[in-house]
Amino acid sequence: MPPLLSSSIALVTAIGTAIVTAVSVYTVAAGTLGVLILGAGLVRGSVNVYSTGTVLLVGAILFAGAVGMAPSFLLAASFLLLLSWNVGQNGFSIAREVGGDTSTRRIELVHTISSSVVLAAGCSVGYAVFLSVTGGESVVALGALLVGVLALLSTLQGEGLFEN
Amino acid sequence: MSSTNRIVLVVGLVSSLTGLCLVALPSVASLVSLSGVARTAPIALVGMLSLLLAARYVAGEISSSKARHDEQQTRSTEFPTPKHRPGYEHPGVAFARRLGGIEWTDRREEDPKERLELRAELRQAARTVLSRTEQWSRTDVETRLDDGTWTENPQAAAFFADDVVPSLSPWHRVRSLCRSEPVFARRARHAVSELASRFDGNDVSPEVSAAAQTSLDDDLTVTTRSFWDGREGAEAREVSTGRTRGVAAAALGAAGLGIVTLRPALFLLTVFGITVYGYARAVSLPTQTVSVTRTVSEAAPDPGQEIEITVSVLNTGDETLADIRVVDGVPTGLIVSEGSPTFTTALRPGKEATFSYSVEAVAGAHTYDPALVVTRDVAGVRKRERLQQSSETTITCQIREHPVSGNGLQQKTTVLPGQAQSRTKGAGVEFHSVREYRHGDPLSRIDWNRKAKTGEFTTVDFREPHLETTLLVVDARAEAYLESATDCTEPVVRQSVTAAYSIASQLLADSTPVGITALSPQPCWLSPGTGDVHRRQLRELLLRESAFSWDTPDGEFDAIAALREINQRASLETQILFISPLCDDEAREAVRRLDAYGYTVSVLSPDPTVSTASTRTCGVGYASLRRQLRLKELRNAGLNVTDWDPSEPFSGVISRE
Repeated sequence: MPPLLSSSIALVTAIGTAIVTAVSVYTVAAGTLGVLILGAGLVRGSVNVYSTGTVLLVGAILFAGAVGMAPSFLLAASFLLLLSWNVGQNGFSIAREVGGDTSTRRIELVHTISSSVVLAAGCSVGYAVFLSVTGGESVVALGALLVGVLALLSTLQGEGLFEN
Repeated sequence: MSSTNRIVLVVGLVSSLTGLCLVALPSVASLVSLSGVARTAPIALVGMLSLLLAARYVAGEISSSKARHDEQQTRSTEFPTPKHRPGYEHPGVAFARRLGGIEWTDRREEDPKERLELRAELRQAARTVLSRTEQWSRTDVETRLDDGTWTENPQAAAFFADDVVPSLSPWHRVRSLCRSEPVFARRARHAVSELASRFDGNDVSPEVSAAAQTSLDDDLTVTTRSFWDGREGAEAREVSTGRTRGVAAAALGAAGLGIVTLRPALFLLTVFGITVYGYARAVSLPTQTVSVTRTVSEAAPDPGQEIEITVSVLNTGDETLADIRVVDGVPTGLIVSEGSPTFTTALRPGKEATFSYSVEAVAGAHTYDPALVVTRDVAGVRKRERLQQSSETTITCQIREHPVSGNGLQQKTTVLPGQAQSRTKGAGVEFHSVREYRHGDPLSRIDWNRKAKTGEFTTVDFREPHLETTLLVVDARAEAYLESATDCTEPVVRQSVTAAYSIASQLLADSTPVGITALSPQPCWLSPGTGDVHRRQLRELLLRESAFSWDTPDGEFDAIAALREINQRASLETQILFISPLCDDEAREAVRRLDAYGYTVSVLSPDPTVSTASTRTCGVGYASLRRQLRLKELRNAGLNVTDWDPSEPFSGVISRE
């Protein structure tokens, strides 16, 4: 079972995601179910259950995006979900490697803060690129950039998406 | 680089350049004004492609997690848990395993081997037990077993009376659907509990104990060394925690959905996802420069004493380490009594953190394994595992000697004179007794004074001095590493070692030459000898030799070859004391073989099946029954066998003989 601090942060941020994406009945349903399953995964200490909850929340975000939620809200929801995912996974790794009877508060806090910073930076970069490109109203340009970056990343770093 | 990768690279370059051109020069974009199919087709294609890729990615992830799961089945990937000792095998496991081998599907086989073997074995035991406890004749026993009248218990009776593949009534068939245990196995449990209860008069329940069941499934990595042995790579290994893989799949999904539904907002998610993914791919771990120092409050403690271990972790590099996890390499024999041997911290350059815990000392020389240090980058996407070598720490705790008055050996005389005195009377110097004259007694031993006084012929007997060279053979095969039913954390081999040490020092005090060897995959041999130097050597050997360590030995072991080697090294006049729990047939075979080589063999057998609980479970009952039958067989073969309940004081056992 992941430590209490990580679990709480993961659960709270996941609830945040569910609240932000609550724009239609379907997203509310997927979000609530996702949070419940995710919570159950944390309590029972099962990574698979936890991941299932997260996948449901991803579905909620995608659906919210598809029905036209504002980009900034969408970004906020994914920021929260990524934070939840990262902190939760870190909690699971602590439970696996260290066990319950060692104080882990320090690394949990450091990890939460630093991954929020990294994710916030990622958000800003993403938002900046998005604004600059959609400002020019060229979806083709954005699409081309995305495809290019993805392809370059996966080939240049080895063991990429295409070699899975 | 493979050709696929090359194509992907070219596509990536072209696509990025196009994208950059279109962003930088919007006029170019307006020049290329596509319409109709030419405009929608590439977009739709890219959208479908991303969705496909995402799906493939998810599928790949599922299959790789399955592969990981399979891998976990074959070798342990669990992190070390140095707080505890490894789970030694419970004596009841052997029977639980036998029962586990019986499956419903055996019914389809023409000749279900497992079932037939188990029944033959139990029938043999039943013959011995019943003929001993019930005073029935041999044919009586056979007929009673065949018609099931030997017991009141219908399940136990049916085990021998019914078919090995019982034909079930429709009601039983329905009931069997909700049970996982075959009828045959259930009957076997009842038969064993019935036999074992009769044999030693105590109640034996037909249940398999929970301890035996967990011991069957248990596979814990305990030490950092055994954790590391499972993986390739010498010093350190760096891995991605795989946390961002899902992010990439979600980003691709978002891109595909965005293109298909024409929602640019979803592209934003893709950009975000790709940024995070890119960070995870590009981030590098700070070169780990952590040093670990360990100090011990007492390097040579007494058994049972608490020792405090203090470990300090120092960041010797010039970068901050955000996430350091240390698992100290506590040796197998030591149990952490207070605190925890794991530690987590974040350290700035040059800073040091300290943690401490206590362990309880037990006999043996315990050398610490290197600590396992795991460091992560700030976001936790990459980690490095490393076995951190530090100066060697060894805790040496002497074996506590049992006071021994006798030595449990079979008395034997040899032609050579020596210090130890045999109980055999004959020619010698020291007076033993006087007896009636028998024809052929030497004239020098006739008591002429008595003849002169009373007129009777009597012969004087003297103590016969001789040299007893003794070889202690400790059974330290993996099969002998059983947890005893009273103390679940100590293997019964430790009792054997303590007993061996006590007997050896007793014999050495009498100046009797003693040697020692182990029946173990780890070779170990000390030729018989006497004197202080020899005594020290013997103690060091019992303390430090890996054959007597707390770890269950692994690997193939050819007991017959090992016995042959003992036969080649030991002289035939040697007495052998074989110390073994005798919980498997190989141990009995070893004794028989040593006996057949012509040695005088005595057996000392610490009993791991003694239980403090009032009712024993059938697993332990079965082990105990088989063991008692083995002891009986050896006694019948004329060997001196001492059964030792380790909860009793050792000296009592030996003087009882």
